Amino acid sequence: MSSAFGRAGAVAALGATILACAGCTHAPCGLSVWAIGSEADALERMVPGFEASHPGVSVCVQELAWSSAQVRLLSAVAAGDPPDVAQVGDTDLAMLVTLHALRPQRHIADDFFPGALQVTRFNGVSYGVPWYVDTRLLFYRPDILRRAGFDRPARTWSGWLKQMRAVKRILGPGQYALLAPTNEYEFLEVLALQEPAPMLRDGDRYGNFASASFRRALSFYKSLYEQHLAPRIDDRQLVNLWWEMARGDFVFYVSGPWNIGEFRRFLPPRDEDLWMTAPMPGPNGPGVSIIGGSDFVVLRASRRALLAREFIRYMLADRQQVRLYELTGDLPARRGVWRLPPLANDVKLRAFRSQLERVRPFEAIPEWDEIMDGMRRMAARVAAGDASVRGATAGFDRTVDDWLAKRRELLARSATPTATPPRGGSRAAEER
Amino acid sequence: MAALEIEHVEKTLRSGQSVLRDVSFTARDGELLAVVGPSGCGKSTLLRLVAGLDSITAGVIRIGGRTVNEVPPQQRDVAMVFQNHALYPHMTVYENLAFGLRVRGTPRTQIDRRVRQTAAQLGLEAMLKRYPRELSGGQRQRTALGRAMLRNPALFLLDEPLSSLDVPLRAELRRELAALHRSLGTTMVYVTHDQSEALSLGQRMVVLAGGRVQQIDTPINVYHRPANRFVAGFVGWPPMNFLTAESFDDGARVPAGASGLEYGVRPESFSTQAGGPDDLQLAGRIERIESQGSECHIELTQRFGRVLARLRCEKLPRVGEQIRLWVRRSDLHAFDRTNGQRVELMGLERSGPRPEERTQ
Amino acid sequence: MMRKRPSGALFVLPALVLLAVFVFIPLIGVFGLSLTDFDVYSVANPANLHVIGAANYWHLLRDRQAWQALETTLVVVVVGVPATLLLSLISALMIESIAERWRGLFRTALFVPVVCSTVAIAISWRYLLNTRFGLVNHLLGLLGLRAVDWLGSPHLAILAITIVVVWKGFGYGMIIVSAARKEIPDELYDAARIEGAGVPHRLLRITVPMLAPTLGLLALLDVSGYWQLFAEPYVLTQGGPLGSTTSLLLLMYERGFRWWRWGAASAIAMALTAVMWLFAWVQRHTRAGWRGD
Repeated sequence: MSSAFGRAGAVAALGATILACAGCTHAPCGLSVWAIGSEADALERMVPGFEASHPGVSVCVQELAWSSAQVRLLSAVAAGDPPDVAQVGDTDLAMLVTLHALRPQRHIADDFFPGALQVTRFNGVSYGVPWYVDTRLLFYRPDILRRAGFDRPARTWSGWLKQMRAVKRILGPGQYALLAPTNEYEFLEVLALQEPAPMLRDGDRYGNFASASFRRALSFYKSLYEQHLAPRIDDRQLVNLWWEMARGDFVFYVSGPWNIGEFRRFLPPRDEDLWMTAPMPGPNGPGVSIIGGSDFVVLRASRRALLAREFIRYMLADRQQVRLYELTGDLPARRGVWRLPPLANDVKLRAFRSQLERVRPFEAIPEWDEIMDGMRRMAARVAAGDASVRGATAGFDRTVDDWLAKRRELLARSATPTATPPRGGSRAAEER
Repeated sequence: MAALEIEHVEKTLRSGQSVLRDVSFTARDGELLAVVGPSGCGKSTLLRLVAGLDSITAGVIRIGGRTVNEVPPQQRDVAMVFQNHALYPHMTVYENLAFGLRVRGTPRTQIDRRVRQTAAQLGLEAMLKRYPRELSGGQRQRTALGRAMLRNPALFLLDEPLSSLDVPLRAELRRELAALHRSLGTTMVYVTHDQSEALSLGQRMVVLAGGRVQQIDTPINVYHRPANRFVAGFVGWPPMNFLTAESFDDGARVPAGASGLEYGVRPESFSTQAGGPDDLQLAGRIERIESQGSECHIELTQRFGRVLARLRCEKLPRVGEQIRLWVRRSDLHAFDRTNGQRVELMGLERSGPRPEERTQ
Repeated sequence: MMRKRPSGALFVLPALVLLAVFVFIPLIGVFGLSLTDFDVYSVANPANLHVIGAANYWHLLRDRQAWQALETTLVVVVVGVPATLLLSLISALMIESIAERWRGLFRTALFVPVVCSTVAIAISWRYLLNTRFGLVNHLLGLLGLRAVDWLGSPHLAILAITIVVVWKGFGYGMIIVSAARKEIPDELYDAARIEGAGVPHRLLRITVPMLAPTLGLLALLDVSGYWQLFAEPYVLTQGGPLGSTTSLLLLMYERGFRWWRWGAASAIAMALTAVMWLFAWVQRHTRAGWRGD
C-alpha cells in the first residue's frame, strides 16, 4: 500500500492536491471517483475507455494523498457529500463499515485471492471489491548471499538469522544484512502473524500481545537490531534505498510489490540481477505474510450504484488489471490475470504469487490501525533498548484494552459494532 | 572646572552641507555662556561637537586646556542636559540619577550618598522611586539637571533645557539655574533659541547665525552695540526698528547721513518729549495701540514704513491721530547697507558701557 | 478607564461576532466533546455516545504519550522562544549596523522563511539534515566533526525541530524589534554615551529594557505559536523517533483525525487552551511597570 516514501511525498502532494482542486471544474459528474496517489493517475488514464463504452457518462477522478485519504473520505461521509466510488486501503475499510458508509458488494469475479476477499468481509457481508493486492516479502541481493555461501534465502527464522550473520561478516562498515525501518510496523506485523496466537483475543475484545507467540516475534525482531544485523534508522533517513541496496548497504529488505517498479526505475537495466524476491521465512518453514491492497467501495449515499458497479466491473476486467500493473506495478487482485503476460513472464513476481496464497488477514476492526501504530511505537522502544519485551508487551496490552473498552461495551450490548444495522438516513439513500 | 576653547571649528556634513564655519570663542572657567541663534543656526550641532557625539571637520576644541578632538564623549568630563530631558523611561528617578555613576563602577554606598544629596539639592527626595512619566515637566527637568550635576563634570552643556516647559515654569527654572550655577561655579554652555533667555541668563553670549559667530559679548553690550544688522534685529523684544534717513523730520541732521547706511532704533528709545536739542524727531499716524500694562506698544505708519515704539501709556493720542517722537542721537544704531556691519557714528556718546570685546 | 458608550460597543461588535462564531462557540463545543467518549462508533450511531465526565482528563493525566508530548512541546517552547527572541534581537541590531544599501537584502533574506510554507521548509530541512547526504552534516564534516543522525536520535530530533522552528520564526521578531528599536530616541544613547556607558552598557541597560515590552509581546506570540507546534514534526519526523517529537497538537491530531477519538482529542485541545490562557494571564500581570500609561 503506502510505502513510507509514498507517504513522505504525499505530504507535498497534499499541498499540490489542494492547489489542484482550486482549478477543479465543478461540471456535473456522471460518476465521482476518489482514488489515491499513483492509482488515481492510472485510473484517469483508464477512464476514457470506460467512458467510450458508456456514452454520455463522464467520470470525475479526484486524487487524494495517502496521508490524508482516509481523513478526507471519513469527513466527506460525515458531511454527507461522499463520492460514488472510492479506493480504500484494506485497513481503512473497517471504520467505514462501522459508519455504515458502504454498500454491500455482491459477486463480481471468482478468482480473487481468498485472503484479499476475506478482509472485505464483515459478518459475512463483503463491503469492498479487491482491486489490487500487496503483501510483504523478501527483497535481497542474490550475489552477496552467494558470496556468503548460500544459494537462496532460508525458509526458517533460524536459517535466515544464520544467513544474516554470515552476510554481515563479509560486509563493510556501515553496511547491514537487513533494512527494517523502525517507523514501519508491517515487518513486525508479519513476524507476529507467523506465530500461532492472534494479536487480539476473545473476539477482538482484548490485546494479546503478552502471549508467548507475540513475545517470540518481538524478541526475534529485537535481536536483529541488537546484533546490528539491521540499523536503527527510520525510512526518512534513506535518500534512495534502491541505490543504497545496489551499493550493498543492505542485503535483505522486507517490503511490498511497488518496489519491483521502483528498483527498475532507479537502477539501470544492467543492475537487474542485483536484486531478487523470495517468500518470507517463517518460524519453522515458509511463513505467512500480511495481505494488503486497495478495494473499490461504493458509498451508501451514492445514487448511481448500478453505474458504480459497472465502473468497478470494467476496472477489474483482465485488460484493465494488466494495465494497472503496467502503469503502477500494483498486483492484480484476480489470480486469473497472473497467467497473462507480462505478469506471467516476470521472475520477480513469482515469489509474490506464491506468498499471496500464504497470507493471514489482520483483525478487521476500526481500532486496528491505531493498535498497529501503538505496536510500532512499543517495538521501537524495545528495539532501542528502552524497554524489555515482557514489560513492554504487558503494558501495551493494558493500552490496547483501554482502546477496546468501547468495543467490548458495545459487544456486551449484543450488537456487533461493525454489524449494527444501518440507520434511517442512510437506508433511505440505499433505497433510492 | 575648566574653560572651553573653540578655535576655527568647521563642521561639514557628509552631504557636503556646511553647518558651522570657522567658529571660535571661549567660555571662561566658571562662566555661564549662552549660545543663541535662530533654529538651524548650528548651535545644537556645536554642542554635540563639544560633547563628542559628533566629530568636527576642522579646528580645535579644548576643554580645560586639553585638546579633545579625538577624545570620546565619556572621557571629556562633560555633562549634557538635553532638550527633551532624555531621561531613561524604564528607570526610576533614582536609577536615572545613578546611571552615570553605576556604569563607571562607583561603589554602591557612594552612589547612594551622592544621589540623595543631589536629589535634596533639587527638591527631588520624594520623587526618587517614581518613573519619569510620573513626574511634572519641572521635575523631569530637575532630574535631568541632577543627572548632569551628579558626576561633577568640568563643563555643563545645556541644550535648550527649558524650551519644553511652559512660560511661568521656565522663568522659575531659569532663576534656579542661575542660582545653581552660582553655587556650583562650573563652566556652563547654555544653548537656546530664545534671546531673552540668553540676555537674562548668560554672563556673556554668543550669537550664532548661518553657522557663523555674529557677536560675542556681554548681554548688555550685545543689546546696546549689536555688531551687525542681524544681531540688532534678533536680540531684543520687540525688535529694533530699521529706518532710513528720510524717516526723520530733518534727514540732514541725521549723523553721517550717507545713503549707504541704515539706522536702527529700539522701540524703547523713543520718547514723546524732546530730551535735548540734538534729539532727532519723527512723526507718523498711530495705527495701533497695544497696552502691556504700564507701557504701550504704539505702531505708527510713516511714508517710509512702520515704526514700533514702546511708551508710557499716559497722555497718548488716540488711534488715527498724528504723533511726534524724539530719539537721542546716541540711541541711533547705524549699519552698512552693503554688508550689514555696524558703523560707529563719530562723535557720539554711547549710553551703554564700552564693549569688552570686538567681533572678529 | 474607558467609559461605556454605545458607539464603542458598535465598533467592537463585528469583532465580537467573529470571535463568537469562530472561537467561543467552537470552544464550548470542544469542551462539551471533551466530556464525552465521542468516537467512530458514535458517528455511526448517536446512541453509542456517552457523557463520561472528566474521564478523558483523568486518562490524560496517566497517559505516557501525553506526558511525553507535553515534555516535547515544553522543550520547544522553553528552548525555542528565548532562542527566537535572542536571534530576533541580534539580527535586528546587526542589520542596523551594516551598510544601508545591504540592509534590505539581509532583512528580506532573514524574513523569507517566515512567509514560506512550513511544509516546503520542513521538506527542505529534511534534506539538509539527512544523516549521510545532508548539507548540515557535510559542513560538520568539513569542520572535522562526526556526522550526526539529526532526525534519527530522540534527543537530536527534538533539537533539530527546534532549530527549524526558530529559523522559521525569528525573522518576524526581527522586523518587529527593528521597528521598536527605531522608536527609541537617539538622545537616550547620546546621554548614555556622555555618561560613560560603553556599547555593552547601552545594549543591556537601554536597548534591551526599552525593547522589553516588545520582546514580551513577541514572547507571548512565540509561546502561543510554538505551543501549537505541528507542521514541522508532522513533516520532518511524523512524531518520531520513539515519539520524541510528538507535540501535543500532533498527538491531538492523531487521536482525532487518525483514530477518531474526538472525546480524547478534545480533552487535549482543552488542556492546550487552558495552559495558553494561564500563560497569557501570567504574562499580563508581570509586565514591566514603566509602560503602563
